[in-house]
Order: sequence, then C-alpha cells, then structure tokens
Amino acid sequence: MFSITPRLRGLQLALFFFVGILIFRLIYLQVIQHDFYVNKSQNQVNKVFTIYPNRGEIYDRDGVPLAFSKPVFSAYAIPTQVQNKRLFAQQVSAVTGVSPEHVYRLVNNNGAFIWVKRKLDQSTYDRLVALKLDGLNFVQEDLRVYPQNELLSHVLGFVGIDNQGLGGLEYKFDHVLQGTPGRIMLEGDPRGYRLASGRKTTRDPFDGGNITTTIDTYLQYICQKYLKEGVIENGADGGQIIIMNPKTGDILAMADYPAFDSNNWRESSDTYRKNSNVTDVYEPGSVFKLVTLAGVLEENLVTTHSILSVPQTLMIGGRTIREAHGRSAGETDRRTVGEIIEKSLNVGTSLLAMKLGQKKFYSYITRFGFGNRTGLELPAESRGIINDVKHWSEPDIAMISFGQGVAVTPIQMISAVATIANHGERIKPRIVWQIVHKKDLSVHAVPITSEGQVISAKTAKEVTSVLYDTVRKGTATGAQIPGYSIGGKTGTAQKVRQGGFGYEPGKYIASFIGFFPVNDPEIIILVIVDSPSKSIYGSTVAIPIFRKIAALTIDHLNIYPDEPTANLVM
Amino acid sequence: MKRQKIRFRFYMILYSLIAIIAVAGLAINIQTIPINENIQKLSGQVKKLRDENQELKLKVLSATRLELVDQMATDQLHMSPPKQVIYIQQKDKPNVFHHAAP
Repeated sequence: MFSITPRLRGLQLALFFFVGILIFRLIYLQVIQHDFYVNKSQNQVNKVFTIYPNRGEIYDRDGVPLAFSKPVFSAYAIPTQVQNKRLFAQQVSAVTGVSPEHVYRLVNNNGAFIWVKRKLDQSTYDRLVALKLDGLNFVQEDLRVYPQNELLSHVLGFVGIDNQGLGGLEYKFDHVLQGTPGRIMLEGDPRGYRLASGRKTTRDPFDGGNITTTIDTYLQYICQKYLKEGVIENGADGGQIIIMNPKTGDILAMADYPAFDSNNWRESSDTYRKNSNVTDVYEPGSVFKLVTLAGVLEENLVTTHSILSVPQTLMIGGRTIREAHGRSAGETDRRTVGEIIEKSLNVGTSLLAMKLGQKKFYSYITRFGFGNRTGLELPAESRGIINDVKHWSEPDIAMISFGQGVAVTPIQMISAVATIANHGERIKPRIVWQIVHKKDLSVHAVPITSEGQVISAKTAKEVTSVLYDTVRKGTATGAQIPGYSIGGKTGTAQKVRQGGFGYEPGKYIASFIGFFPVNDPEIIILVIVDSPSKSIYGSTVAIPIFRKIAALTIDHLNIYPDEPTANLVM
Repeated sequence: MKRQKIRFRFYMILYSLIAIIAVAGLAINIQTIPINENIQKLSGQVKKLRDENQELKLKVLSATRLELVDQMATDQLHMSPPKQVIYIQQKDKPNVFHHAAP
C-alpha cells in the first residue's frame, strides 16, 4: 500500500502552491490586464501614420481662387546616414542658400531626422535631387499660395510653416480650412518590419472646407490701386477703403494701405499685416454728424428745414466750440438744419445734439452700432471707443456730435451710414458668403442678418436728402458723377496720438463716405486717408479717390444712371 | 479491408478538395495582385495629375492677375482708360447719359 509521507505531502503542497501562483498570475495577465496587454501588443505590431488633409481654398464671389495649396517638396536629412558632414553642408548650402555652418550644426548629431529646408521651389528641389547625397531625403508637403499676391492680403491673412492660419480669414476659419487628418495603420512584425499583407486604413482624411467670400476681385483691385495712388499723391501715411452693399451687408472690397504679400508675409512689418479696417480706430470727424442729425430728426425735434441761429463760436462747460472755416462778411447766423450738415458746421451740430440731450444722443450712437463689434468674420475686431454717458462731461455732447472724443473703426462707420442708406434698417456686414464642408458635403450659407430698424424709413430718407444736397451744393461737390445721384459726407479730424492722449500736431484723417443711387442705394464707399501732407481735407484728399472708384464701380456693376445730364455727349 | 478502402477514398476526396480550394484561392490571390498594382499606379497618376492641375491653375491665375493685365495694357499696348462713359437709354425716347471716367 502506497502511503504519503510527510515529506511527499510537503512537496505536494509546495507544488499546489506553485501551480496556484501560476494560475493566479495567468488570470491576472489574461483576464484582469487583458486590454492593457492587447493594446501593448498592437502597438508593437501596428504602426500608425497620420495623413494630412488638403487645406481648403478661399474664393471671391465669382469663384476666382484667392488662396489655395500646391504640392512642393521639403528636404530632410538623417544625420546617421550622412558620411562626410562638412561636404554635405557645403553642397546643400550652395543650392539652398542656407549657411554651411547652419547645415553642419543641424547634421552634426546622431538624431534620426532633421529638416534641411522646407517647401523648396522647383529649381532648388531639382538641383538638390541631382546632388544624390546620402542621408538627404524629400517629402511632399502643401504650400499655401496666394496667386493675386498683395490683393486682399489683409482680409485673407497668411499661414505658418505648418499651414496653420495666423491672420485674417486663414486664422478666423482655420478650423474649417484645416480639415480632419486621417490615419493609416500599417501592420508589421514586432521588429517593426511592415507586413506585405498588413495594410489597412482606419480613418480617411477629410480635406478642409472651401470658403467663398463676398469680395469682388475687380473692385478690390481698383480700391488697392487708387488708394495707393491717392496715398502717394497726398504724401500720406496710409489709408483704407471699404465698398459695401447696404442692402445685404456684403463687403465687396476692403483695402488697407500699405499692403503686404501673403506669400512672403515674413518680409513685412507687423504693423502692415493687421487689417486697420477692423482693428484700428480713428476719430471720424464730420461724418459722425449724420448720427446727430438722424437722432434729432427721428425724435421730431427739428425738420431739415427748421431754422437755427448758429453763432461762430459756442461756449459749453468752459470749452469753446469753433467752426473749421471762417464766415464771409455780412453772412447771417441763420441756418437750416439741412445747411448745418451740408456746410458741415460744428457749432450748429453741437446745438442739434444739445436739443437731443446726452442720454438720447448716446442711445442713438449705440443703436447705430458704435461701441460694439459689427460681428464681421475677421479676427481682432475692435469695439471702438465711446465713453459711457455716465462719464460724459458737459462739453462731451458737443464734441462727440461732430465726431471728436469718439473713436470708431472704418467698418463701424460704413455699417452705420449703410443703415441710413438702407432706409434705417441696420444689416450686419458679412465678408463670408458660404462655407462648403467637404466632410459631409454640406453648404453653410451666411445669411443676410438684420440688426433691426434704427431709425424710421422717413428719417432715413430725410438724412439721405441732406447728404444728396451735400454732394450737390455742399462740401462734397467734387464727388458728383454726371447721370448719378450721390449722397455723401466729408470728414476731417485731427489724428489722435498713440495711446489716446491728445492729438498729433499737424496730422489729420481725411475721409469721405458716399452712396448711390440715392433713392435705392446699391453701393456705399468709405475712403480714409491717414495723415495727408499736401492737403488735409476730406473734400480735397478723399473725394478724388472716391470719384475714381465710384465711376469704375458703376461701370463694373452696370448701375444704370438715374439723373439726366445737361450736356449730351454723342 | 473494405473499411480501409472507404477510409482511403474519404481522405483522398478530402485532400483533393483541400488542394482544389487552395489552388483556387491562390489563383484568385494571384489575380488580385496585378489589379492592386494597377490601382496603386492609377492612384499615383491621379495624384500626379492633381498636382499638375494645381500648378497649372496657379500659372493661369498668376498670368491673369489684374495688376499684370493693367500693366500690360498701359505699358505695352499703350492703352488708356476712357475719358467718359456714355449710356444710351433705349426706352420711350432716346436720352443719353454720360459720366467721366477716372
């Protein structure tokens, strides 16, 4: 009979214990830690590669491409494969223009990968390939190109080396344009060698969406051309022009001078790359008188034919308000409200604002959109500067009534006057017309958005009539174009110092805003010239630029004449 | 003896079936190789053509840039903008409008 000795029993127990530990360990590894080890195993055999999508394109309103991407090659090196690093640096440097010391510093290590030069032009690429250097390789990337060079650069913006949006629409809509990267998972053996049969795509890339803007390339071109000419002719520092459709809020052109080339944006100064039409503020001067006029007419405090006694100076809160121009001998103080605006009288406008009172005047200023962003689809839009009415001193109402002590952006200004042109209804400006998402092939159209009725259609018509007279017989006669009814207002304001305290001596902002045809305006144009040195007035500096652009806009858009002309031309 | 014969036949049929399936599978697989290669080749060509198309698009757009056209019209062809534009109304009675061009 076989009997278990205590020694055997001990051995049996030890074996049981050992097997128990093994079973426990197996359960731990295969059941409890199952997911962890499955992932770890897959990570060893699967190599994941990202597929970068193509960046979306930007078009003008007629489908002309303004920004798109083209494939180019970038050169990289694997330092461990480079035999003679000095010679390599010299040869690469001779072709790329990068200093040999820099190339040598890059390759003189045991790293796995270094960029030699990214986004090569075709000839550089061909010459580098011809060198047949060990360790020098190439990879295809996308280069963002702007075929129109400087045209619309402030609106389009620019991209960084990895095609990330850094300015303008490229920045604002980076999430749309960028697209969704895809992923390819390649199955390989644990040593990292790819298995011939093991390829599988886990996620397709989706190219970035395309953006169609409201911009008309031709109008943009003439704006940039004549703005540049005007700035140079007047010895000015810069300028801005916006063309807008007051009925839809569509921005047809938005120019800012000095301009830059989005293809080579690094070569231009930071100050030139911002879009002053939305980021910068200026004191609007007399153009702001329209807000004052609209307020008093809407409140039925006066009519355009009401007569006021307008002295040459006005004392208010210890401050003297003066007219910009002196009066001729024997000229009467009696002026109609219409004449006050036509002749751009500061004292008269102050009297109108005082009739309105601080709170109501402030309410009209905000209703016209000043002090708030317009919501245009461009980055870094400023709110402008308008002090809360609670902080107004006594003379503020007079100063603000003719556009001093208030700072606005060009887009706010044109949006406000477009409200008058659009029968009192404020339309949100838009520069993006539609976005086509390639992921789900959906089209997102940006709607025409009404911001509400600011003033009645009747008041808007009265203000328009005053603006028409301003061009017909007031301070803006130079803006007349035979055959067309044009309404408009000039502005000449001192330039505020950087930091906002005081004015720069001898520096002015000359501006003009005009729309046509007066009865049913289709186009509104704002021209601003910064610090002209030959003449300082809106009428002599901004109007000639306006007139050139307006005439070509009429031709381009086939706007039919609405006024007969005296001289027939056959 | 008879059972052995039956078993032999069974295994023969089984092995034959396996062989036929294996050969058929191999044949299908061999057929897919050139198709896959063709797909790869065509994909490459499509990409190349797309790239070429982008390059040509850029060339066309650069050549038709308004700035360039304007420059060619004025400098090489010696053209000048019109002094005035005339509009002729063709409705009830003839009337002519004109405006000065820049």
